[in-house]
Amino acid sequence: MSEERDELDLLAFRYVAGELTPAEAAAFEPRLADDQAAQVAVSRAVGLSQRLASAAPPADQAAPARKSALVWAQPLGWMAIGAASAVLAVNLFWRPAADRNASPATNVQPAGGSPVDALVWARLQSEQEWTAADLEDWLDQPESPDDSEEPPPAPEVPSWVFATKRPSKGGVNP
Amino acid sequence: MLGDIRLQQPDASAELAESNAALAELFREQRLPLQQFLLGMLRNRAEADDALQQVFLKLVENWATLRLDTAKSWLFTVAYHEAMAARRRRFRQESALAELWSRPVWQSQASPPDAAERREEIEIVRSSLDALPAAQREVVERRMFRNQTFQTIANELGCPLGTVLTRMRLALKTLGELLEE
Repeated sequence: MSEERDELDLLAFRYVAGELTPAEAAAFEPRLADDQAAQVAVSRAVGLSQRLASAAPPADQAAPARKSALVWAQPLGWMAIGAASAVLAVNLFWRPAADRNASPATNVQPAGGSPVDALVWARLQSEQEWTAADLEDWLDQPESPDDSEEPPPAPEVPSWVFATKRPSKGGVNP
Repeated sequence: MLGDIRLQQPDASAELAESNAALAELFREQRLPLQQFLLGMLRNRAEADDALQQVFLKLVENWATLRLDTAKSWLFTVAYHEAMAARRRRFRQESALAELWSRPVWQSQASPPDAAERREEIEIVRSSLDALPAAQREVVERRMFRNQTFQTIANELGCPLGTVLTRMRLALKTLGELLEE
């Protein structure tokens, strides 16, 4: 019995992981209509996988080799490097003379307001490797953290639940 | 006559209160399992939440005729049909379905809890992972954290796919026990 449940849990996990073949999925999914054990197994698999995913290490640790292979190979990488060079050139040659005499510590903020300038500056400051994916991620970011995602729904029972008809204990399920 | 009505009113009111309490309890108990079930089928948080709302609306509509002892299975059956309807609305092409299957469900999870809760949760999950035998832990970490398919894991570890799946099955069993405690 327990072994059956374990097999079902694995099947449900593979289902939610998107690892069933189309044939396996086509065979498994109809069970979800009325097989309570399968329904609960899917629910459990989602809950468990979400908890595991929440404990994922930072992306750098999880996939250490991803960044270095991509940076020189993608057009956006070259565009980003070009943009960095342009900003450097502006800073070095076009600044007023008085600014050139200022100490580097007084110029820690990017002059422009555009996201690309800010990204260039941040990357130059941190001396991190700069990938095309980073640039895309940066440009895809919302303007403020408040825009990023809706807050999770409140766990309270909503009031509309109680706008119900007359209760009955002896009814028959459809 | 008036006295009879007055006597009956508290009973009716108590019955309604009892019914509402049962409905609220069912909602609280089944909300998360149903949400996870729908997320498993839809891979999309917003659609899962919409479907969940439809399920509970139907629960309310049918509450008068439902039997409490089978309400849970009724809810899951309704949820299944809501999910299938949502998928029919969303997917009209085979290629879109292929994309659905290729996407792990945990990529659709909700926004994380606050920092303190998150730290505590991470600690619990990591200690549970540490409790696994190394071979099982490796499969879980590769699948969950590096998003490798089981076949890729088998290839990289140089072992049969069945071995990897067995390790995952054992790991799921242990993690389920540890994390449900």
